[in-house]
Amino acid sequence: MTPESSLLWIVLLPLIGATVNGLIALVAAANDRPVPRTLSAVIACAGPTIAFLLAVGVFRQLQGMDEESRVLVNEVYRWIEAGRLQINFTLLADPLSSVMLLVVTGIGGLIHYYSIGYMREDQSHTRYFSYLNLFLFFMLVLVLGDSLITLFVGWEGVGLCSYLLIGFWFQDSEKAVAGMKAFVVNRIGDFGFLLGMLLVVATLSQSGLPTLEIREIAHRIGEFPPGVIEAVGLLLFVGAIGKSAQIPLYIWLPDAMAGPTPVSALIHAATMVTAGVYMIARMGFLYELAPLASGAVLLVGAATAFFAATIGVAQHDIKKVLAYSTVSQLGYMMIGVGIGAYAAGIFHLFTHAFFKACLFLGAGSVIHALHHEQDIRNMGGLLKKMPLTGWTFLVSTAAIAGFPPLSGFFSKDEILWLTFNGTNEALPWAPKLAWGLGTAAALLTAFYMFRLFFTVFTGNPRAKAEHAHESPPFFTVPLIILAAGAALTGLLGIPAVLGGSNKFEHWLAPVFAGAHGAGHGAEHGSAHSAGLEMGLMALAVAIAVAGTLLAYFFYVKRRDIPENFAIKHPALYALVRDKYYVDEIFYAVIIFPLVLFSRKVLWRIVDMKIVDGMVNLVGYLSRGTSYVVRFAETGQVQTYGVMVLAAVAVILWKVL
Amino acid sequence: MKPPVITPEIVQAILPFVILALGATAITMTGIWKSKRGALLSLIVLLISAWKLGPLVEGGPTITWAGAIVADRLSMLLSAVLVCSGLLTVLIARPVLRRENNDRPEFYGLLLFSLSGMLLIVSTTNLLVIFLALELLSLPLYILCGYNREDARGGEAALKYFLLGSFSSAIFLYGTALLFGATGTIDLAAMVEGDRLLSITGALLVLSGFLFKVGAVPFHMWAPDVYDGAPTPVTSFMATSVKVACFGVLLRLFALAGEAGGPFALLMRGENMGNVLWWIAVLTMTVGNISALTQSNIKRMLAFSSIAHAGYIFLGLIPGSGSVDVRGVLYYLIAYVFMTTGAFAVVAALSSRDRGREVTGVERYAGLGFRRPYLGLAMTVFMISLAGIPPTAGFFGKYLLFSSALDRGLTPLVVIAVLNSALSVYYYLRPVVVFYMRDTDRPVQVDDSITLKLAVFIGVVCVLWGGFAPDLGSLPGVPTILGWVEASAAALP
Repeated sequence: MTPESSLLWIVLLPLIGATVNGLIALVAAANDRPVPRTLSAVIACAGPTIAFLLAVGVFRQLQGMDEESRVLVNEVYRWIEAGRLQINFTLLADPLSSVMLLVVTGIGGLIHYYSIGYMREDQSHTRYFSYLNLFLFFMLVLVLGDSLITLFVGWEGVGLCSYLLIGFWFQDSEKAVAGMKAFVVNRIGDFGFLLGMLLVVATLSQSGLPTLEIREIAHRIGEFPPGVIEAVGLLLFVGAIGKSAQIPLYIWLPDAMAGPTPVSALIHAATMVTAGVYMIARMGFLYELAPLASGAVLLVGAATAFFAATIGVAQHDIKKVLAYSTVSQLGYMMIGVGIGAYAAGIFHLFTHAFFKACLFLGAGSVIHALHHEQDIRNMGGLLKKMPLTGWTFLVSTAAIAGFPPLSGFFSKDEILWLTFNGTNEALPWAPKLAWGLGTAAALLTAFYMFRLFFTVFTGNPRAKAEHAHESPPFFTVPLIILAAGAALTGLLGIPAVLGGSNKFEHWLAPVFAGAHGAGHGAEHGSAHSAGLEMGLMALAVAIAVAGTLLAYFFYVKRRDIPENFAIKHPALYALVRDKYYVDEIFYAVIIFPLVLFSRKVLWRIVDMKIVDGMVNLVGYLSRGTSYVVRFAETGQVQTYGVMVLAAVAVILWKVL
Repeated sequence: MKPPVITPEIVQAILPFVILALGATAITMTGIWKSKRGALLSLIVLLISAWKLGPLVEGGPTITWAGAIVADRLSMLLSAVLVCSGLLTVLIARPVLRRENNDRPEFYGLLLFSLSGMLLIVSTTNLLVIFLALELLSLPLYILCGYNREDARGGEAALKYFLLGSFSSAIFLYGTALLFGATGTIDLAAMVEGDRLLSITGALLVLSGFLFKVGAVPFHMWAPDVYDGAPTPVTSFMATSVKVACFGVLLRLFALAGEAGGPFALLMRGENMGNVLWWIAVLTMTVGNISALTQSNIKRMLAFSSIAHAGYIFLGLIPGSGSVDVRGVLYYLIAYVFMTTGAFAVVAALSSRDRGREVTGVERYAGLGFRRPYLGLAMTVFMISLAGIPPTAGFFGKYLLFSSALDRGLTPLVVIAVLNSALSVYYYLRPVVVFYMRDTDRPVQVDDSITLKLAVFIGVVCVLWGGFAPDLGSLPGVPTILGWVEASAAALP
């Protein structure tokens, strides 16, 4: 198999799995028969497994090529031909997409295996696997698409699958509503994305043939006026805000935890939500020339990283804590791509995929063992009862908190360092502010993550936690693999100052060759900046340690302090616990007036009075005419005869 | 002038007509010994006629005989359609007549007489032969309308049709006389432009006779009463075959006007006749559709719908900036025959008589979609075809007519026609809605005879065939309706 055709198969295999499982589920539902669990599990896992092996092949192939020409292209077919616009359905693998390819198929495959155990008792596991495979298909289209529109197909497709899987247990109306919320909020972002694409087509068609092919846009970036570049950058970023859960559209992600936990791990932590970061990195050549748009990415990312971290401190639902932590970490990635350190942003995406997937799957293991208990106040002491889950969870927690030499330390530190050192032409003050917010968020991250760990795994067991047992190997094997990844992947990106060679950034360098952003300048910095970098690194470690110690003090030594604090400052506590009432503000400012307007104006007046009125008018007119015509049908032969004669006379008069 | 010689080709060309006429005579005579085999005999006669017709449809040179007989591919294709329609009518009529204890051979005899008149009328350019054929096709129909003597409405319909039919025949004959006076000949193909007033008046009066027969507004007023009063198989026959025959004549008249000149060319040359036809088309489809809108009786609804369809066909007869759209009109006629006859077959299967009166209300269809799935499906196919929704012959026919009219610059007319089609969806889908969305506890009476099922089956197959394979995607060597239609259209000047 040539590497080009293996690209096609990587995409097709999950689609085939989704189709087969979908058909099986349909037939089974029609005949009211259960599907053998092994059958649908084998079909579902075959696709990602083979796709992962093929992806490794593609990666090896790219490694064997010249650094500058590391691109594999498969033109599958001509998709759209509309006037001058021609769009091919083309798959493209370069170093950037090969990294994403490995993350999606590798971690996606592990989560498929995990799901076999997690969904064992569910009635609709075949439907579940069908959705999960379909998600992989769309995610791979997103990653491999070589044009904005192919990327958008994947973008919308993963949104659809996310909706289907959040509302997987749709019998529970709350969960169905959560799915709908995710979908609607994402649509707002998608609207921006669409506008951005249209602006690209409109601009390019003025100077030549319009195109949406990303490489072609990069070639012709000189044809864009500077203002248009900023506009395209901002519009595409609106799409990323929706998909990657940034302020103000992050509100769907915590609710998305209504879906099964493996789904939260795969879609709402490791892959789909990072699509916005991936897209901005892909369009790096454009953001390079758009300082304002980049500044917006930077500031929104920093604000999100800090804001979400503060909410994470006061949550009691184990998955909600992880959800806000995901929002916060996505903020870090946005800081990275916003400052122009695309490789660093993607590196954090890569390491985050491991430790966050591991955390979610660990949480799933706990939830499973405690029979769907999600409140951390009812847990405790689980480290002894579930050692594998506990220790892997600890490794990942340490990774996200930024303890060296775990992966999170390297990727987060890289971003913060490059931000500290970076510049932004449009908003010169922005990088330092972002660095400050990011560093503060790092303290909070260490604090709330260890708060979670200590509350769940140490102390005395509470409530159901008494009878918990370690989960079976379907759970623990993926946990161990992911924890190993969380611990070790950081070694791929050891910065030069610590004597490493940052293989990861080196690998991505050809893709971002056009982007001469902060990343490169800082990497080859002078000796005195090396001292500064070491200093900041030490500060980062100190912050991680401080956050951890605080958490230890409050949640292991003096449990009474946070409880008393909550009692003494009820307003502040409630403000944070209830997520700053952002959902309520959205409801009051946007949803409520919208619904009111729909009900009172659109429905009562526009629809019922105007539209219905017009339709009814046509009906009444037709019926009225009908009665008149019927009246003419007297049944009298004499009348009919006269009518015929009159008609002949009139026509004759007209013609002559 | 040399006296015309009867050659073997001529005999072959008129053989289908002769067989029908002779067969009709023979079948009527079997009434002497109260034969019950009228349906079988008429089927045999029709099949022999079709057998003789078959090779002629496939082609051959145009044969004329002193202007009295013109056998070309147009006339042969129309004859074939008419014979098909006759076959379907017999298939529908037999169970209905049996059910009503009214199965007498003269019904079939009259039917075949009328059919032979139709075959003749599409194969001539001689005005006197046209008149003869017109009477030959009309007189048996007057009787058939009142065939059920217990049904007072049938009798009323027959009388009305007879009186108004005679009236229109008189108009037609008057026109013929004026044309003869103006040009000195009764052969349309040989006519020259005579005196303007006489020519135009004569041509218009001849035209009016046919406008009456096809039920064009404002000559349509007889149609609902007659279609409603006549027995269902007869209504089906009138609504389809008569229209095919008369539109066939109109096609020939307009096509000849385009080529040979003569009084009709004179009539069509001015702006005004185009406008008159424009208005006739608009009025015919609009009045037909709007009247059908409020009908809850399916038979009456189909009667009005047949008026509306005549309006669509007029789109093809208006030259606009080009010439008459023979292809579109022929295709539409064929599609129309099968979908309308099929719908009437379903109506016949579901109707019954209550004290002599036929009951065909839409409420009889409640719940049938699930109790009789095949019948329900068939009726759905016919209705969506009549409404012009793909993948049916009705859709493709409308597509041909409308797109060709657009090419000829008749855009406003096409807009009106499309709006009319949209309006018609409302009443065509009503039986379907009642079929599938309403249920009833009443026992359903459905006629299960095999011939009715056969008629419905043929209708469905042809409607779908015409929709799926009008010309594209058909197997090589398998003839398509459009292929035949185009060959026939090419035969005309």
